[in-house]
Amino acid sequence: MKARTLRAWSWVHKWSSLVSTAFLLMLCVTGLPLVFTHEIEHVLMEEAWTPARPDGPKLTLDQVLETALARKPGEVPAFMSFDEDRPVVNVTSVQPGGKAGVYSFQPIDHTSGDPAPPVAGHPVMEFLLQLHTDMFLGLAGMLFLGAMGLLLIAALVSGVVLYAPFMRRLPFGTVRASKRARTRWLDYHNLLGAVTAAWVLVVGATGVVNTLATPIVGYWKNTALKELTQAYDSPVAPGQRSSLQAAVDKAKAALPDKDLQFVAFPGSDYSTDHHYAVFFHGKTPLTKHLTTPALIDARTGELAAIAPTPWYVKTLSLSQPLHFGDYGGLGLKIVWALLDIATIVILASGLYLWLAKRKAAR
Amino acid sequence: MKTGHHLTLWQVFSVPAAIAALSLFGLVVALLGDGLWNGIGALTLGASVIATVWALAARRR
Repeated sequence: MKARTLRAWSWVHKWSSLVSTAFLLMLCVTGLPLVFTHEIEHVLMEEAWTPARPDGPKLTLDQVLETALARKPGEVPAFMSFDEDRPVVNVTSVQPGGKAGVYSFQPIDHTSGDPAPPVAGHPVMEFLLQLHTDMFLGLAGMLFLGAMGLLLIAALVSGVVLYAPFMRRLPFGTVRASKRARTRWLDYHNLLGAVTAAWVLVVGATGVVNTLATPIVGYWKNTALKELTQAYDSPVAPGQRSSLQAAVDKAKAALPDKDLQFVAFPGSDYSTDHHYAVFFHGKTPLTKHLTTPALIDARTGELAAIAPTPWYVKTLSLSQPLHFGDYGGLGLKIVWALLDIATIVILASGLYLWLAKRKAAR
Repeated sequence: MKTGHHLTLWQVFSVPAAIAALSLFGLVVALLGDGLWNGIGALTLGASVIATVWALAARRR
């Protein structure tokens, strides 16, 4: 490689890293416990619980919704989701026109309407997740972290290019542990960078895609779902809505080979102002991560459309497991955590190498 | 530094490229399959960790 080309790549590696390192360290440190969110919340929150009427009939979803909203006067429903391993319906509601990110989350016994103990959403994990997602800055914070992710990719690509000249005389994996600290840490940095490259690229790139969730879903609503909403001028008022249970039943009949995942109410982020969006996911390991909504007209209760998600929403859906590492059992999570720690060492050693070089140059 | 001669680009990148391929294979099969595939996915993605441990033990000087 020509000396000028090498200097250019060196410049890219130095600056893409320097600008992003503090944020990437924050992401790696908060990401480490987040990998084990499910396990941590299981330990911190799980308590023995049985439904009030284990073998009795279940309430209709309309009854569940009514019960939940009666406990949160003035709020409107946003989402309803369903626990997989217990008869519990989770109702998320918000103040109309309230602040983004402020909501009530109520797990409800599907057999009695009584409150059920929450098994997710521990305040500490929620805090870490929010810090990791947007640093409490909303969309701007998310997009900013997305930009840091792009810098990570630039640092990774330039790092791979620079790996060649550094390793021309050293067989793979050489660690000159007896040499001075700068040499030693350069070897650790190169070794860990070389072995984690593919994983960092996947987690970095899918992380960037995840930061685009709001514009991706917004674009989908404004294009694919737009024509479904053109018949109406004003959002459907809560008093005008048809039965939720009937809407879910109709959606299930339309998608019999899929599993019910959640309902987005009219006016919420994942629906239009006029429809119940009933989301289903597939039954295979891959299609489990891909959702298909059935849109039910909230005034008439009729099936308005099955809206298979376009490629960019599918990309977003698949970017989530590939970023979180929560799709392949505990073994995969442990490897995820080890690679996350390796990345922390890469970031810290990179910073150290830059500082040591500056000091030496003075 | 053991040798005076330069390694070729292939010699420099063959092991990292193999680890990258194993990692990507692991990431994908754990997503496509369940059960045994999850174990295989964790193991092949873990090639990166195994290579690190090996290098720290065997290539230390």
